[in-house]
Amino acid sequence: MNKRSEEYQQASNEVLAQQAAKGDHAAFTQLYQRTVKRLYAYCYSQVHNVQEAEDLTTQTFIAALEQISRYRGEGTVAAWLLGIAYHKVSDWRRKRRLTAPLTLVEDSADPTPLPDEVLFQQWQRATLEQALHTLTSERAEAIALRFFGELSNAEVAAVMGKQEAAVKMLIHRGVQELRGRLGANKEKIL
Amino acid sequence: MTMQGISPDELPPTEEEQADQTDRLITQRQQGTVSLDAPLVDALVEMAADTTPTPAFVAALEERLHKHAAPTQAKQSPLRPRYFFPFRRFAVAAALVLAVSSALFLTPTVRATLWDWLYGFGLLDEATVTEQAIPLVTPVMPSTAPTPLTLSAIQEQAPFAFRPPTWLPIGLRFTGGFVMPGDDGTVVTLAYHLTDPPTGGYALDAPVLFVAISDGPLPNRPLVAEGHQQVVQIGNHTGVYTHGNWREAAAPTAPLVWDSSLDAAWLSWQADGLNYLLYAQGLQSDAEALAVVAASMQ
Repeated sequence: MNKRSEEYQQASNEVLAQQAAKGDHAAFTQLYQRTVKRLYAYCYSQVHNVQEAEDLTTQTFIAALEQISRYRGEGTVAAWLLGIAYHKVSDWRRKRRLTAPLTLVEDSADPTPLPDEVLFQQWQRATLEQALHTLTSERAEAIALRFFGELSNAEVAAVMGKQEAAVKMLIHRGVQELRGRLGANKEKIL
Repeated sequence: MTMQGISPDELPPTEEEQADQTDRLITQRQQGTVSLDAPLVDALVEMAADTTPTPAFVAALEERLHKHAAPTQAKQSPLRPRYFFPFRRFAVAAALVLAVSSALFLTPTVRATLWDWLYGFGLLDEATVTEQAIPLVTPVMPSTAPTPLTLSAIQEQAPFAFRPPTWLPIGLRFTGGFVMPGDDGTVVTLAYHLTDPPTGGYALDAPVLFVAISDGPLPNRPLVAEGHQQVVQIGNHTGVYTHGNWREAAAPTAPLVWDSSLDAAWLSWQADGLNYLLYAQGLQSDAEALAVVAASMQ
């Protein structure tokens, strides 16, 4: 590992962004490696499809690479990147017109016994994913940015163009709504 | 319970207080310092943590960003001149056009090279085309820009016979072109301007007509925004016409928007085993005008 690589590993995202803006691709690569997971997770949480999530993640980073010189240090780099992803997802949603919520997994009074822990976790996750689909758009987006994008409330607010208090309430109400929708499965999830 | 009623400590929390509590739970859970039992928050945090891209995708995207960086960095250089076609740079720009058009014709999906095509024409500065699909091929500008060829030289070098347009919008004249062989075919590009190259080069928004012809594969879609296409008859052939161009939105991170009012016209068609594309900017061209140009090439 050369000296520059070591320096980059120690550097903050914001320093890396400044370097990347000067044309230092190694700095951008370091930034990419740090943030690709949360960008992908956010995209996946919105589209629930691996291929689409990969496409949106790719579009986000290519746009970030092209626009990195515009990053002015207002807000964190993570929020800036998630902001790009947010627009990409919004555009994708407009085009796909995915407005109809998916049907929540029906709860059975006598659910089929699950054979093992793995299947149980898969079922639990699928149930939660589908419940997330049923949230109103703003609540789902706020929750996705907070949980999957790992942004603070202030950062989510900046991305969504809202007040921090409003974001906090959106997330709280979203979680409450999830609790309500998953009520039938609360033995498993709540 | 007090004589006056419920004591403040016994009042149910307000929604704001509940929201604060939810926020604290999320933060604590994300930091791994859970103090309260919150299974739903736990499940969400765990689901987020488990949602990871495949290593293959991460590696492939990193490689792709690396390849994408070179032209992007060149584009972002503070030394980059205002004009894209200054003096000797015509050759560079034309080479870019060739590289782009080559990728355009040789790439399985048109949307895949839309950005590169526009950038190759110098129509985009620092912006993104959000409606593009994932580029499968990133054109690489030749390290040494070739010298523009005369029309007779192009016809001599091209592996297929083609007829240059015999009808052009008033004032346009041939100003150079290239023959660019590729793995799946050869692309011929012809440029027509209203004037000879000025000393400072053609301005970014200089009126121009580009003609691209290829014996390679060309997707049956135009280069530009879906939903803005119009079918045009060119003799016995059918072409696809689109008017307008991308422009930047107000917000820096906002996607580009398609603006049909911009003076840019696109027409693509297939005929006799060849794929054609006309691109006109600053010429107030419409579908009818480009169809006439196209028909004069048949």
